[in-house]
Amino acid sequence: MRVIDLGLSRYVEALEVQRRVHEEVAQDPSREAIIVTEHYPVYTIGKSGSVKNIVNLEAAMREGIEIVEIDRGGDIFYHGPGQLVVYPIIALKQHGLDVWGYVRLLEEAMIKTIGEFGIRAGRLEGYPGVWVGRKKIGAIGLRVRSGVAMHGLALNVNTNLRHFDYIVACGLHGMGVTSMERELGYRLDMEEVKRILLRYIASLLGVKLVEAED
Amino acid sequence: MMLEVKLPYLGETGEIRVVSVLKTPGDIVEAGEPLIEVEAEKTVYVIEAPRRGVIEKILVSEGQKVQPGDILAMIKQG
Repeated sequence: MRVIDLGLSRYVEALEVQRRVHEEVAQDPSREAIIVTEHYPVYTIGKSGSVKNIVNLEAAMREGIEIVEIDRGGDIFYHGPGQLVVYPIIALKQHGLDVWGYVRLLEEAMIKTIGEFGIRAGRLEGYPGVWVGRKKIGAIGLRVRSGVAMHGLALNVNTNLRHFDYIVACGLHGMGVTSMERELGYRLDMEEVKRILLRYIASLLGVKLVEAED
Repeated sequence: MMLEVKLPYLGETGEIRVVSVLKTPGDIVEAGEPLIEVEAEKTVYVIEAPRRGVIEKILVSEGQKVQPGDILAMIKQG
């Protein structure tokens, strides 16, 4: 499976790449790809979300955080540098997956990855994503059309967590967010985390990864 | 001929809710055109028209809970 590493990207630009690849995969499942990126600061609001969950709009504007309403599941979430974002554009049936199974697979890949760094994270019944206690460290938001999934996961590695203070993340009151850096007390090597996470995703999907040429 | 558009099985998901109804009765739809979007497990799942036809009925509304096998819409063909 192709890996397309966009480096640091604007959310809307990466979204265009996602849509283009999604269209390709819907036509030809052998074109499946995994897009990897970190975004410039942005709040994305899913189908179940509301702008009302930006509780400090003034601060968000002042710090130049973009706001984008999108077609994935879930509520509001922050993306920014230091957060590892992975968008597998895959035909679920090819991997024997339904929606439930795919969400669990993405959680598993994140739990195993951060486990390698000694962080104990897990699932919280009824709240998809990966949690350290009642703090979210890895988020999931997806869209499935024509059997092909897009959007994906966001793992807080060295994320600026202050940018979560201006929103009610995921629309959930009384729950927080954390990052690998916050849990471990040191900054992580993003390339290393990326390599490990991609390895787990590939192994759980039963595919081999290759660097994309485009 | 009347075609029933049903919600497929999405796995052992929690609650499934309709988040968007994109068509109204009388609309002509092509095969593969999005009709309705549901959400479960942080996933928006798009229900598409299986064939070309005219929307006869939409049986769900935004915010409504649905289950696999539920008829969401009826499409009249030919």
